[in-house]
Amino acid sequence: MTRKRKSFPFFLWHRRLGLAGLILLFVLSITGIMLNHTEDFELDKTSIKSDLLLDWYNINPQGEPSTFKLGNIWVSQWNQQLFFNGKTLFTHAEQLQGIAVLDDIIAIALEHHVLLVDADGEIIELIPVNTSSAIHKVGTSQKKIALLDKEKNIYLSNAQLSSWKPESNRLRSNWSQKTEINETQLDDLKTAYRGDGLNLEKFILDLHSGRIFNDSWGIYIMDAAAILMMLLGISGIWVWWSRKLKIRRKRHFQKHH
Amino acid sequence: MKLHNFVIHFLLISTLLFTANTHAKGTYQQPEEFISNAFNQQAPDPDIIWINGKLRQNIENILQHKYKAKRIRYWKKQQRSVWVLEEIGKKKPITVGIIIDNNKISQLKVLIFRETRGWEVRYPFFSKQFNQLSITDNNELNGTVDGISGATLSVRALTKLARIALLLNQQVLLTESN
Repeated sequence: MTRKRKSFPFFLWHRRLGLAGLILLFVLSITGIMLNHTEDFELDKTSIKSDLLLDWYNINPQGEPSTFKLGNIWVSQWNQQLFFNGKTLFTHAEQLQGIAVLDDIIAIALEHHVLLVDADGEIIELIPVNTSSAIHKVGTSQKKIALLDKEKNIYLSNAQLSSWKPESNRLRSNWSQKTEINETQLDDLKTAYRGDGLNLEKFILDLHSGRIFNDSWGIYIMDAAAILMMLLGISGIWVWWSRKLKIRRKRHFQKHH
Repeated sequence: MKLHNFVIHFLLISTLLFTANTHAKGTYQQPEEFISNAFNQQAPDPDIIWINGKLRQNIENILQHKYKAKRIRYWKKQQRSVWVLEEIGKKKPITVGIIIDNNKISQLKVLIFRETRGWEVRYPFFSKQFNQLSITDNNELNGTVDGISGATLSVRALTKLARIALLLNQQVLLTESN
């Protein structure tokens, strides 16, 4: 009776440990195999689109986007990311101040730079502009691009849009104004913002290491799973060995009695 | 006494290392000032060269990656052209000013350095090596530029920019002659 009490709980614990760690062991094994074949599975090239996962990673722009529209063109900025018609264009720390269009070239004014893009949203050039204070507004005047700085000084471009010079004459310009965007456009921006934010390799790697649960203590979950795997091995050998011993003793007992 | 000496040495070395690091990043000269100085304070209006076709291909071959912009500004008066170009060293762009006289580099200067390592390329002992270099038919420099240990990526970026400036200058001259 005493022998049964000793061996059965250990066997039970072996089973319990196995069942408890089964999911984690599966995750470890599957993700391990996937990471071994990162290039074959193109993990680094696959972007994750799932809202649930992106929310989990906090890949969400903060605050509200700033948007300027001219005809069919709308340029937005959300957390330093610039968007052209809802598609990612460029990242710049300076704040978007407005847009102006001249001969199929779109001038996107930042605080100390003007970014020129074509009608397809292809970057032509990022030009530093030497204004006495930060650019505040942009518009068109006399078939040129006009800039207004925060001290109300006006600067007028040359015909090639390659440099800006102070303009002493008062100019009439249609300065671009901020505008609101609709829900669909907001969704487009969100999708574009999140687009390159998380690839499958990062997710699988975090799942494998346990960092998906938490950056600081998540790894200990997978450490525990790895230790569990070792314990299962040891307890498996223990169970097998104790059974073998038990059978041997039984046979020995039967032989001699 | 020994501990005292150790503490002093430690503090001295730490201060030196910290000072070196704080000097690493920075704007050494504003691009506008570099351009203005190159033309004795009488800089011409910038001209534009469009990057397309074979020229784009050659530039991308030198850079070994895509070139995003469609055009580049330059300043030119007689046989002198000035280029302000950028290329990423390790993670951040290095802004370099290059003066070309008669198809040869007469000055190459690091204007803005944003990386935390490899800043030694800004010193004249290194940048002077580019002086009088021109470009071969294979778009290589016609002379060697000795590297700096620990600044390999910055050296590589500057060499690429020197080749691109010479290539662009050649293209401008070709366009003008046509």
